[in-house]
Amino acid sequence: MGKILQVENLHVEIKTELGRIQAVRGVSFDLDKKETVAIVGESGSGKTITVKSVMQLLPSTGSITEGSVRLEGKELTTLSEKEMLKIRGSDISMIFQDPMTSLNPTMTIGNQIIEVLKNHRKDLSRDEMKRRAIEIIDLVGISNPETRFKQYPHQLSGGMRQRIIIAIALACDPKVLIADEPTTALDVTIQAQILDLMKELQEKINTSIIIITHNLGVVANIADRVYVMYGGKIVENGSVEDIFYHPQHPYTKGLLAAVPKLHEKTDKLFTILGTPPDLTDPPKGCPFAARCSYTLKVCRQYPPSFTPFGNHHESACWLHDPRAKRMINEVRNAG
Amino acid sequence: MGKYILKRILYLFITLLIIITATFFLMKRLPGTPFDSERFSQMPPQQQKQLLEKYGLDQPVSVQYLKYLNNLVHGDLGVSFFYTGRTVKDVIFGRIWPSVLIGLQAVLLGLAVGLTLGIIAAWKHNSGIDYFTMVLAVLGVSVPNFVVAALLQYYVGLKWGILPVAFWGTWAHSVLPSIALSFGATAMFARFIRTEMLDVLEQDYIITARAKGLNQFQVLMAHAVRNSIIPVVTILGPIVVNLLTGSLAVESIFSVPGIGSLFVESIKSNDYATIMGLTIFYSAFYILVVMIVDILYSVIDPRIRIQGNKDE
Repeated sequence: MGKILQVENLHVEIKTELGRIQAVRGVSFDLDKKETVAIVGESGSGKTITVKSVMQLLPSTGSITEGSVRLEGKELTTLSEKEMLKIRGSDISMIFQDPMTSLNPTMTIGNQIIEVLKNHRKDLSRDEMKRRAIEIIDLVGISNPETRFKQYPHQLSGGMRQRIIIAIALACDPKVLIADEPTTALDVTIQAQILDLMKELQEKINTSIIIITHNLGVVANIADRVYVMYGGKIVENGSVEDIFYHPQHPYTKGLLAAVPKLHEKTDKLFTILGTPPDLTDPPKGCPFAARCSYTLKVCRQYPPSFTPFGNHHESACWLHDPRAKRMINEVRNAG
Repeated sequence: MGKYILKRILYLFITLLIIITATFFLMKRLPGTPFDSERFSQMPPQQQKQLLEKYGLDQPVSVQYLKYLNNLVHGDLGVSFFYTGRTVKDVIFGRIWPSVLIGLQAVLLGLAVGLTLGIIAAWKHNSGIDYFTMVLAVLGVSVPNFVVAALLQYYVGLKWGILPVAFWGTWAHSVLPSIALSFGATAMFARFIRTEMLDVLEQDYIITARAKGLNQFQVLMAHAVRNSIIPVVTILGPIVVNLLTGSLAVESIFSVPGIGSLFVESIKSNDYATIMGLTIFYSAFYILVVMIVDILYSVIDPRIRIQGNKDE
């Protein structure tokens, strides 16, 4: 299967009063047709900025300084704003974290869906657009689509609003759907419904999904592959099975250990001590070095490169280096 | 909605009654009578008494008050003491149109210029036009309109001779007073919409709109402006009333025979009937505009529901 989206060596900087934040520092990932890829990481790891740069929806203070984003082989970073307008909402669309604030409160649901069609489906007549909008409200599992069409966002519940946002995103059958924490703001039961809906619609319209989350349960539920981000870099990636059952990077292991388990009785949750690095002055070596329990001298000096573990599973950590392994063995033997 | 409007109209009458009562008794406490001219004091006592009797001023204030209310219910605002022989209605309607014309033009000009500047300022935040708008906003709020009026007279009227300096006659006479009057309102509108819009532009639904592939102009017009307009509507009420009922300073400077100057003259001459008539007119107009603004809210923002509306 051909790659639908390829991101290579992406660097993004954001100017602030405190200096330039190097929010994304050399991120590469790709997405196959009909595949669901999850980008996982804590707040401030650069995951949202990464996908916003794919859409070129960065805040005015942010810019892509290096790297490439290719949609079916077509470079997006060099496109003009005018050309990007044709891609946004049509080839790539995005759904956001908080359904309560992501819809315009003064515009009817119907008009918010029709707005996308007006921009990208100029072949449709006004009546056809209305029909298509009602059809898609129905498709995302909302009853009485004709009534909902005329209603305003405040008349719908949070779960329904997220369905509407999904409807807007899928109105033009996008090739790539980016979901930025689509379930974080919802009740747990609604979360499961929304994830099921996304999976179901993915089957129907053959779209590829990038889902950003810090919820590993969501990842296990929906993703095929996982990228783990930390400090503006990807530290490990692989299939869901590999990441959950054979994590290699200390950060990934820490994340998994921090998930509360139903069958274990513990008083305290495992936490990763410390805070993420300051990206206005990012660490020279591994971004996780300051918080890692296994830090070596080299970790603080040089960034680790990826070590492959087969089946497209790779991890960027100095511990995987044969020299590190040799040294650890020597220390153990000596001890 | 109908029920709501009826209720508001009822409140309008109650409020008016309170205002009429308060104004009536306060006005009677003012020293002097409408007949304080030398001519009146030189009249023989018999004639003075007759005159007071004719206007009912010899009776106790409470009786005068009830009589006034009775006349009012029958639509009679009384006869002016100052403009002899003319009814108050006549006097007011004779002076109202210049004020309304100037006021309306000032409101429209203020809205057009103020909103445009404010929207562009917010859109191009921290740019040259943003700073220009902010400077204008501070000037508009702090420089009194009579200073603007004098400057306009001097440059536009006198030095360049483009428009008439003062007096009333053709439409051209209304231009300078309208501009002078609109200055403060322009600044207020610009400042309010700019502040609100800067906030709205940070909202999530603006990113949603951009993610749909809308261009900046579409995002601005379809999503940002409508959500930023509520504070402007709030101040629109009082501003419309202030401008339409005439500004004493601007009317004096341009010698416009408007309602603002009429009010001051009537107070100076203890013209009871005219004071009352104008007070009722001002108040009723104000309350009506506030009511219209309240109804406008629900038109602009569907989240603001009006009581008695069974939609939700």
